[in-house]
Amino acid sequence: MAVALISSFSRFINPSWLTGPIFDKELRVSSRRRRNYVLRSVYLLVLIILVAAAWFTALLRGSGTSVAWQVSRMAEVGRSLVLMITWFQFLTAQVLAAVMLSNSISDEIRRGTMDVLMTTPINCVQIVLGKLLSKLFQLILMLAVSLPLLAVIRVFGGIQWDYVVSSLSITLAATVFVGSLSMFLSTKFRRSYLVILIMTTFLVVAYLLMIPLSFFRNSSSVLMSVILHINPFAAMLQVTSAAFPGSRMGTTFFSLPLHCLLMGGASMFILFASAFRMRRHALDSFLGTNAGRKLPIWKRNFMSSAFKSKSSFSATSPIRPVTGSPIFWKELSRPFSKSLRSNAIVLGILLLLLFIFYYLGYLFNAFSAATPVAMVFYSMFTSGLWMIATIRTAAMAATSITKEKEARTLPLLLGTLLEPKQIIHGKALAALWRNAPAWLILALGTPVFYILMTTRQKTTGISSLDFYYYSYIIFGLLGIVANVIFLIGLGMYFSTRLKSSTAALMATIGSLLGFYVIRRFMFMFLFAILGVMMTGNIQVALILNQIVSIVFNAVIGMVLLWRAKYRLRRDIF
Amino acid sequence: MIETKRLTKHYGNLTALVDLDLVIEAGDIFGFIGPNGAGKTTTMRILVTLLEPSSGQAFIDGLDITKKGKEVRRMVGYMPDFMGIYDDLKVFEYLEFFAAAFSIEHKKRKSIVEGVLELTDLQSKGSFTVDSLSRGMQQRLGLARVLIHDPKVLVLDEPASGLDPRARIEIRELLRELKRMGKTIMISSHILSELEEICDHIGIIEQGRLVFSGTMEEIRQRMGVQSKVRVQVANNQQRAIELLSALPEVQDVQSTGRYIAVTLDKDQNTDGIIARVLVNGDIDIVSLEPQQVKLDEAFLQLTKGIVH
Repeated sequence: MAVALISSFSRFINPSWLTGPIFDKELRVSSRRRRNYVLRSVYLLVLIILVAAAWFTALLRGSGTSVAWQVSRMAEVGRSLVLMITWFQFLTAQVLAAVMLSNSISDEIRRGTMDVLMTTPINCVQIVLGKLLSKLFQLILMLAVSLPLLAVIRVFGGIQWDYVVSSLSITLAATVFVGSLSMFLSTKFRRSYLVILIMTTFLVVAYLLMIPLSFFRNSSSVLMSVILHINPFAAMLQVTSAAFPGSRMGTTFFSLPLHCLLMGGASMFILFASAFRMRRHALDSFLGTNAGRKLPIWKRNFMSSAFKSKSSFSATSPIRPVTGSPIFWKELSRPFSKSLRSNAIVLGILLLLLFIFYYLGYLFNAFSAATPVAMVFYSMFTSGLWMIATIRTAAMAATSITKEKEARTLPLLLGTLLEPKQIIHGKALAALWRNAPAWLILALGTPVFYILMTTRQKTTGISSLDFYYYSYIIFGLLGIVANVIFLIGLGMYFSTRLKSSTAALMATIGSLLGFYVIRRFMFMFLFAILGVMMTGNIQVALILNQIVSIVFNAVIGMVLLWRAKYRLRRDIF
Repeated sequence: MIETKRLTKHYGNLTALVDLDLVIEAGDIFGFIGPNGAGKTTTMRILVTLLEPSSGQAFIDGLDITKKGKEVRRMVGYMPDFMGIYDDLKVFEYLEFFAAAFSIEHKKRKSIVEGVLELTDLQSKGSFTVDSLSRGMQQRLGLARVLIHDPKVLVLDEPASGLDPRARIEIRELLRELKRMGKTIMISSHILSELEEICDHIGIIEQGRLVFSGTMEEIRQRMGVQSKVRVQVANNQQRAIELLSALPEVQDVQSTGRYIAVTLDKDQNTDGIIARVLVNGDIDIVSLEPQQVKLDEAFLQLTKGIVH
């Protein structure tokens, strides 16, 4: 008995048993995929661009030219570079883990290979661990690429090795957690882009939870300590702040091993939940039914677009007549996006949030220049909303045509009298409509915020720059319009070029980040050359940057939309 | 109704179609057969304007498909080999969506959708979601979609693949009904016996080349295929084989258990001769059945089984 127990225990902890042949198969397959090599190259390229940008920014900031002055700034530059690289790794690894594992299980189910796997001696835990570890292995390889760079920069001084080790530990723990969660979602949703969208929203919310940290740094409350231990963003912020000399973050209790342990425990729990769901799916498949677990109607309606459920055959909902553009009508046939009412509800909630924010701001006199708390909160609110709206808009555009390709409905669509222009316009309009509340709030919120700031500062006697404020408002609104055109154009272009939604989404998000990096470069040089050097006026430089961004986004977006229209009939199959 | 002239299609280095010349008359059911990768689907996709030919021309009702794409699409209904469905739409919505995509007036759509649902026997399924239908019903829905704009020409790529016998029979009956309605139908299938039953003309394609086009009768003549007769005798089978082998019109005689398979030189009426010889030889005949050349035999003889 004891021998049998020891034998089964030793078998369980054996790494090769844990991962099974799945790990081997995944590594073999991924080594044949060109996109993995492209991904590594792009990662390295972006890292180099960011390091170069950070380097030049640091150089531009200084006014001294002597060798002694340059040497004295080396530590500062080294610190900023290390911070930039570690944060870049931290964010990229999580996003990539979410994307890479977003279709890990759903793909097996869709291809029908899951049932085949289930008939072999491989168990669910082995499948889940094999898939997770193989993807993590690739991510770790990618992270390892930047280690030599960190080692070189470390020579500049300014930062301790402790920070590098801590940040890498947090990055790894967060990556395992995000990957596990993404895998779990892939057992629930058949469409990988839905998993990616949910994961992105999850990451943005985690980012927004950092807000309290900005204001309660010295708090020693249990709540703050809990947030630090369960939120990787907060933990990373804590470790980063501690790396600066004279940091005030010491009062809140934070233990790195405890954080990693908690994240690891949560990951294990999610992995077992994934294995459980897979097993249930297999049983459903073999028994040919899921009648034992019928979903409630509200949940079925909510998830009907996401779940592979054939239980929605009942004629409970009315037949909707096709009105207007058929493409636009079809795109809005999904739950929570089909009616003006649902959009109005979302808009109402966001407006309420905005109103509460403004009211509290007035109540606590937060719009005066002396207390920039309003600006900080507003920036967090809008940047969070902006990130969600950006990702959603780009994702919906990027998956609009690939969805048709995956469902093999594109040939049917192109066999009708609809012109490519009508299809592209219908899809683009639908992507805009489904994200209209967020963009509308951003468009309305910006002028209201600036007007409130200006009015408040006038009443408090602080001089205001009305002309520039109104310029910001106008260019801010135009900027949102141009940004939406760019996002939809970029997404639609990749959607017509690529075959799978996941590939289109990855290409769109990757290009988006690339474009933003390029724009940052453009801004930097414009700021330096046109703004400061020619006029010496920082406001002019900011406005010029806005104009360039608007023109850049609008022109590129329109060109990409035109190319998408052109390509639609070229890559049908 | 359908005509191609030296139609050629290249995919990079691969040549999918080589100088394909094809003529399909109005009102015909044309069976298009060939091994996998022979170029059937490519031809069909070109005809429905989803692919552009590398060279050559194709016409539907006299319209050049490369120049009059929209007009061609108006008169052609295409059902691909793997039919795509919008799983979040109901059957009625699905058909109405395509009616709208074919610019059918809003007020006419309902009656048209009801009409095609009735024709395809799907009236009771209008409020069901598309993905809840069985494979056979989805194929019928595909046919309903194809008919929504009342096209003159139907291009159907493997419409019966993956269906059970009952569903295949239903599809076959539906195609006969559509022929009666005057539609020109181009259909590809791997189930050759079915094509044989419903098609007026057959086209056999291999490696992008049309190796034969004509009626079944023309296939027999073109191949010079021998007629076969199956004979069952009540007594003395060996003696019967000897007598039949001595006939000059007979090329081969073989015993296949209870039967004797007689292969004749040409497609000629020699049943009378066989019967007379056997009766004169005091052999009692139980049955005498002429065996027609099957399409699958013709297919095997005309093609080499080489794929790209």
